[in-house]
This record gives sequence, C-alpha cells and structure tokens, in this order.
Amino acid sequence: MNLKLLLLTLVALCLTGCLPEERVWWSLLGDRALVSIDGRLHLINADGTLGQPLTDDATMEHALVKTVSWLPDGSGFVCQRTRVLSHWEEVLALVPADEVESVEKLLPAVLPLLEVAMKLADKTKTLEEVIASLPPEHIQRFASAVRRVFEQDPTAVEKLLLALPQGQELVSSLKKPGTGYEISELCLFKLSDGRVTETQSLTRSLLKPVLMPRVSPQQNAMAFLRLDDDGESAALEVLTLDGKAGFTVARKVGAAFDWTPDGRSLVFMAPLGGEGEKLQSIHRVTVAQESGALMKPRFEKQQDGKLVEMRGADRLTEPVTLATAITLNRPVIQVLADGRVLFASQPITLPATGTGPELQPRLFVIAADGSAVLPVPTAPGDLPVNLGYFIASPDGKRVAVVESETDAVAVVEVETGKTHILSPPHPSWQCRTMPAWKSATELTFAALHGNAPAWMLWDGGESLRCLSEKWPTTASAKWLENKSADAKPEAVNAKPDSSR
Amino acid sequence: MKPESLHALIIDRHFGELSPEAAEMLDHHLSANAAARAEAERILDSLNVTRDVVLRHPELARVPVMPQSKVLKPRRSSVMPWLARAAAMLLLAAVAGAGGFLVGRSESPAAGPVGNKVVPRKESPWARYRMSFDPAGEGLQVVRVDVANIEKKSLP
Repeated sequence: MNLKLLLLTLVALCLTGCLPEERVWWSLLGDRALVSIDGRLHLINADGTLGQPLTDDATMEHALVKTVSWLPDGSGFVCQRTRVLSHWEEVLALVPADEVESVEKLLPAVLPLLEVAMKLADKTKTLEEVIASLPPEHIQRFASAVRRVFEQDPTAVEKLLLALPQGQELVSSLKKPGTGYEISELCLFKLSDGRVTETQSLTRSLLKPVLMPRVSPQQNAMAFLRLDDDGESAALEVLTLDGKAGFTVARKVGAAFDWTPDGRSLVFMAPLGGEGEKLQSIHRVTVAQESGALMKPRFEKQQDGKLVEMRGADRLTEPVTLATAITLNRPVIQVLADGRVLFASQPITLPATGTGPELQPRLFVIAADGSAVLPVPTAPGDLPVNLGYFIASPDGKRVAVVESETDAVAVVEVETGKTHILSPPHPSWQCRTMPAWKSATELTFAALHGNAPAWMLWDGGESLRCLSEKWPTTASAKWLENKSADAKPEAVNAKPDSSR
Repeated sequence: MKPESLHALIIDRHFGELSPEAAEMLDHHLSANAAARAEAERILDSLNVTRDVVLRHPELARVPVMPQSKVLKPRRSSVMPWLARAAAMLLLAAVAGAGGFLVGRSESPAAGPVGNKVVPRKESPWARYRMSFDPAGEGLQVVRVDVANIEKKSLP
C-alpha cells in the first residue's frame, strides 16, 4: 500500500454504484416525491413533473447511503449530507469535542510520520505496517490530522509529500479546490411552495458518519445509524427532531431497522456474531413514551457512583428478541402497517445432503405480538436468490422485489404469495434503482421504456405509465445498467406480462 | 552505492535482518563515506521518531499482532459490509457454523402453517445459480447458470 492510496481512501469514501439504490422517495400522502438525480434532490409532483434542484445544501453526491425520510405531514424531510469545510476552525464549531480532541492529539505525530515515509519510500515495511494496522477510525483521524497540519504548515507537508512516490498527486489532492474536512450530518429541510425554506443540522460527525435517517411516523423523533469505529457495524440512535435529545438504542447493529406504526418502538437486526455473520437476531424496543417524549435511560448513576437500573413506564427496557434469521444478502426489516415485521431469510435444516440447502431465501413475517414467524407462501422461482432489495407497500399487503443481476420487477402479495412480474428481465440489463410505492396500490420503478431506462408507474392494472417521459434523457439513464459493452438494445417496453 | 541500496541496508540492519558479513561491509562503507554516514544517521533518527510516535500513540499500531509474513493490503473502511460481501459463499460458512445451533430443528418454513398450495414458476425471471465445489481450493462457489458465459461469482 502506498500513502497516496491511504490518503485518497481517507479523503473520499464512496460506494461503488453497482447495486440497486434508493433514488425516489414519495411523501406519505403520495402527492409528491423527492428524486435524486446526479446527486441533486428534485421535487416531482404526482404525475412526475420534474422541478428544479431543491437546494445546493441538499446534495446527496457524497452521501454514504442515499436516504431521505419525509416528515409525516409532508412539510419537510431529513437526509444525510456531507459538508466540506476548508478550515479547522470551522470544524471546531460543529463536531463533538471528543472528535476534535482525538484529531488534535495526533497532530504532533503527523510530520514525523511523513518524514519517516519519505525516508523509507523505497523500504516501506515499517511505515506500512504502522499505517495498515490503523483501525479505520484512526485512519480518518490521520487524514484529518494531515490536512490540519497542511493547513498550518503547507510548505513542510508539501516538501515531505513530494518526496514520496506520486507525491505530487498527494499534494494536489490536498490543494484541490472543494476539498477539505468532510463533516457528515443529518439535516432537516423544511419545504414551502416547493422550495427549501429552512435547514437545520440535527447531528454531525467528522470521524463516525451518521446515515440512514428514518423519521418516526407518529412521534417527534428520528432513528439513524452512526458507524462504529471499525466501520463494519453501527450504533442505532434516536434523536428528537430539534436535535436536542437522544440516546443510543443499541450498538453493533446491522443496517436494517424500522419504526412500528405507532412510532414509539424500533425493530432492528443485529448479527449474533462478528463481522460477516449471517445469523441475525431481530429485536424490538420501545424508545418513546406515550406522551411522545423519548424514554429516559435505563440506568442512572447514583451519588456513590454506582449504576442502578431504573424501572417505570418512562424508562428504556431491554430489547425483546422476536426472531432469528439467516440473511444471505443485504438485510432488510420492514414493519408493516398492522405491526407485523417483514424480513428475508434462508430457510434451512441441517444436516443436509450434498452441498447443503438450495439457495432459496424467502420472505417471512413475524406476528405483531411476536408469537409466530410465518413464510410468505411464494412458489419456488418467484423470488430472486439475491433477496435483499424489496419494499412493502404502505398498507403492508404487497411487496415489490428487484435484484441486482437482472432488471426484472415483481410484486408479491403478502397473504397469498401470488407473484406478478411487472417487468420481465431484458438481456444484459440490471437494476440499479429501488422501487418506491406512491400509495398502497401504486408502485413506481425503473424499467426499460423504448430503449432506455425510465421511471414507470404501475397502478395495479395491466398497463404501465411512464412518469419520466418529459425528464431530461440523462436523468434516469443510470437507473438501470447495461452490462453488455457494445449493447445496442432493441426497443423494448416494460409490461406486466406474467402473473400466477 | 546507490542511495536506495544504502537506505535498504541501513533499515535491514536496524531490524536485524542483515548478515554479519553484510553488516561489516556496511560499517566499512559508512566509516569511509561521510555523506553516507550522515544519511544513515538521518534514517536512524527517523526510525527512532517512528518508535517514539508509536510509543506515544500506541493505538496507532497493532504491529505486534501482525505476522511479519502477512501480505499487506490496503485497508478500506467497509462502509456497509452488506454492500460488499459475497453472500452465498459466506452463507455456506455461516450455515456450516450454525450447524450445531440448528441441528435437530426439523421444522421447514416451506411447510409452515400457511395452507396455500403453491406451484413452482415455470420460467423464473430471476438470475439462477448452482453450488459448485472448486477443487482448486476456492471451496464452494456460486455459479450463475442462466447466462451464456457461465462465470463463477459471488452474489452481491
């Protein structure tokens, strides 16, 4: 590894865009949606008319996971944004004091380390071992510290960096306009007359990105993830929508969580073991009181310094474990409108002959009272093996399913398992966009229209309508991907052509 | 002697990786060459600085637990592990690991209490895979079987 790779890795964390991702978020009323086009958020109305970019502040270009969560009344939304700050003084005013202290503690080590790197450029073992063994959090610390020292003494840092292999690129990356300290934050954007009228930063971090905000459907709170130091797991946190009160609900959780319909409890997945664990447990915990206020801590420190568990209706309790699952793919949890919990799991009985169980994950629902786990009775072949990209309708009666290897789109009826193929697969085309329910009976999704990806509307009937007809041709061009290098797709149209 | 060679020899000796004969030759070269001697002192100073830094910030280094022979690879923060994992292969590992946990559970979710009779779909729209053992040592592989160029790959 060279230092350049390290620094570039630090400066810009980004995800490869080869999996279905969320790009459209309908308001709870279904009267308008936010659409992410080239990292900019636009409003569209019910018939798909595309508005201008909302605001430069609401760019999702650098978002780790693009997520928007509407306020229940549709008056605004919460999303993640990355703010790039040029000067350390600006950072000081925004990020938690412990993060500032963590970076500043490292400052005296920066120049000596770079000096060593310069001298060991042809024998990098020692420095590489030091750097390669940095935990991810410390790598981010180091990147911030390098930038801070560069800010203070650019001549010294530049001289040292230029002595390194590809040092010029390193220096250029530090000097490049628009780069700086990247602050991850969750922001509340209020809307009026189709424009952002107010922006409020709710929580921020330099070292531990905050992501995936999800506003409670009933209470004045949101849940979100804060990446752990190891970058492999996260803490699930709740925060009031004024950003003033909050707490950590659970640590070492996965990326799957959802609110219960009353907006007071969270259901979430957590791996039973460590990294790479496919056995996941599903938990539920109440985080808000009946009054809407957040629960008080479960433990309180007494005058003698001891922690004592406090009990009461206003106190946080231990999460209830609802089920255990094996997740092959991206874990997904969705609480349905009636309180049941939808998830995907590989059914399994061991020992098994041969290479083991056939890869055939299925959808399951946990009863609202947690008393049973029942499969959605789909037939073999109805669901993809890569069952990690599905979303239930607002009434919880249907589930839209896509996969990353084809561009097929299906809808599954939860009670009967009956599956409708809304858009069949087309050779070489792959889905890169999650479907989005406009209402309980209307689904929007990416599909080929003519010979290009388009945003389609299915209203439960036999035909589809294109919502992106009047959008710029490039707007939805990447919403499906053609894996064929010399692809010249024939004119095709998505059409519900199969049901069972 | 080229500066690169000199650096390598000095560092190797610092880590005790130089043979006594080579060390003796290096000492002879340094004693006869003031510039080389100065450069050696600078490098050794740098190594001492490194040591001091690591001592001052022990959280920076996990060197003692790293085998010297380990091939160093760039560490990337896996932003969301589920985005990058090879699901099916890991599933098999998980399944194997979960064997003790699950052995004896005869319940098959497919035979759950929902009574609807289901018929397998004649033509599934989704990508299809099969498991294949790779005698070359890669273990169980997931092979996509519904494409012209069958290729081994892991599920995203």
